[in-house]
Amino acid sequence: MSDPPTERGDFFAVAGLEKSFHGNAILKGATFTIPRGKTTVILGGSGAGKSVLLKHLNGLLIPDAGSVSVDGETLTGMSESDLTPLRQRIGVLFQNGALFDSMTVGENVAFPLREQTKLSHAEISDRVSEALDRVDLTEAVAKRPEDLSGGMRKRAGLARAIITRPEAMLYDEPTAGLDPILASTVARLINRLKGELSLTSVVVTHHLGLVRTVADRVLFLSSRSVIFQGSVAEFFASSIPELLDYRNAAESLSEAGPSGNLSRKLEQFE
Amino acid sequence: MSHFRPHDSLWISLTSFFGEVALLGWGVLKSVLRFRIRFGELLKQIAFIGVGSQAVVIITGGFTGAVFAAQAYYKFNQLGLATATGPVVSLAMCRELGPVLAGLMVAGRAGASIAAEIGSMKVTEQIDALRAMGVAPTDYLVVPRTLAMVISMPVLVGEAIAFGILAADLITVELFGVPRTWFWEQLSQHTGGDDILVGLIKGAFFGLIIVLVACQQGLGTSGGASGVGKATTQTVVYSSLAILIVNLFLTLGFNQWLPMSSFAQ
Repeated sequence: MSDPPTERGDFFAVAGLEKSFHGNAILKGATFTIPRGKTTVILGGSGAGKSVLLKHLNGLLIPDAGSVSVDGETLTGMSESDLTPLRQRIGVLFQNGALFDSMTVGENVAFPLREQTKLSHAEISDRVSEALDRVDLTEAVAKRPEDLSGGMRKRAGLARAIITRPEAMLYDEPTAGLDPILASTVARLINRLKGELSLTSVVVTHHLGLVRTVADRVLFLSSRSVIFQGSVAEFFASSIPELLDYRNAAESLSEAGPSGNLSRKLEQFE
Repeated sequence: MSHFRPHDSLWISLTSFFGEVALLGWGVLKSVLRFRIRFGELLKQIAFIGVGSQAVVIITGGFTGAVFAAQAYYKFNQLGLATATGPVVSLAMCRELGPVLAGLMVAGRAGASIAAEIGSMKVTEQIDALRAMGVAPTDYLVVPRTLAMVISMPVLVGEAIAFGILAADLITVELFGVPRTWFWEQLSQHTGGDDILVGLIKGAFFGLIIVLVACQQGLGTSGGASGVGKATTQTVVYSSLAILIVNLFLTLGFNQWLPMSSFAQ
């Protein structure tokens, strides 16, 4: 197994990553790096393996072949207990927040500190208030996850992920299922947290708008591998056919939206 | 953790199932030996599994004892052995019916609930969230449930036995008029501490089976709500079958190690 190519500036480095589920290859030879302190957006079609790729970055999934390293430490072959200190340096925002149903928002956000630290009750309470304040959710501290909207659940999940002050954040579809206003709120939060906490961020999304608002770099997944990695400008200038198709489809869909041509045509028809 | 998959052969599925249950059991043992026990969670689970299952187990034990006493009395009375009803019911309740019926009821109530809860956590990525925060799902979810089940089941079996025998007393003495002194004299002569111990040990065994199968199925859940339903159903079916099959071997073994009191004397 070859070690991934790491540079001093890279927080994550992945080399030759392969993963199959029940005989279906999802990733085949994915190789890329994620620079420290930057926001990298991973794009790709449905089923391209974006979320699978993300879950390899903190060892939630074990690759069939290839290697993943975090800050120069190779994850591949580590036991669950060896992975614990590394995982504690990486926050994750799951697609639907993954809040624990049996706890209130406050208890959810406090959970990582209760598990990982010996802070007093008062200190944990202060940190919970601070984390909820960062995501503008202080009013929901006593609510149960089932009483929250989709956007609130994501923000609560984000507060839980950042309460331990991680060095990196993994965002799995942070704007999926949100209306444009909530999606732009989440995008602003991603940028704000990156600035305030100097986070290395990896954002998996379908949403081309996020590339424009949060990305420093873009990875594009297709045919089970990373076919593009570069800056945002390079992404929009690229003439790789898969990227062109994706951009055109995303842009035509946005045109078909409430203010787009298709809507206007439909209104005229009515 | 994987699941039974339709394209796997039965042999692979069975091997995979038993392997996963065994690995889960080994993981729990390691955590317990390292004293990674969350007492708050353990108490919550004892309240849910033990206290919450009392009513269903007591009703099951009571009515089984009553029905068994009625059936036994009708036959024994024809043979002039009406007072044998007490010992027969008590031995059956202690050694077989108490633990097996309590096990089946707890599998249906608590086992299904554990599989559904953990399965829902799996499909909503709460298990991944635990792991991402450096918390082992075995320590957080499986250990407290396993200990709670192994602690609660012998108590529940004890209650099923006690209420089964009390119900037998009601039927035999109050309904059929067998003198209470004879009923209890015969019962105590033929039922010993070993008989009760067998029932309690079986209960702990069955509890272990239920909780490991439920956790294995829950942690192996995939495919959303239908996956949770499948895991729940499979937990009840597999653990109930396992209880009935394992009970045979436990009975054969216990009759060598702790034989029935009346024959041991």
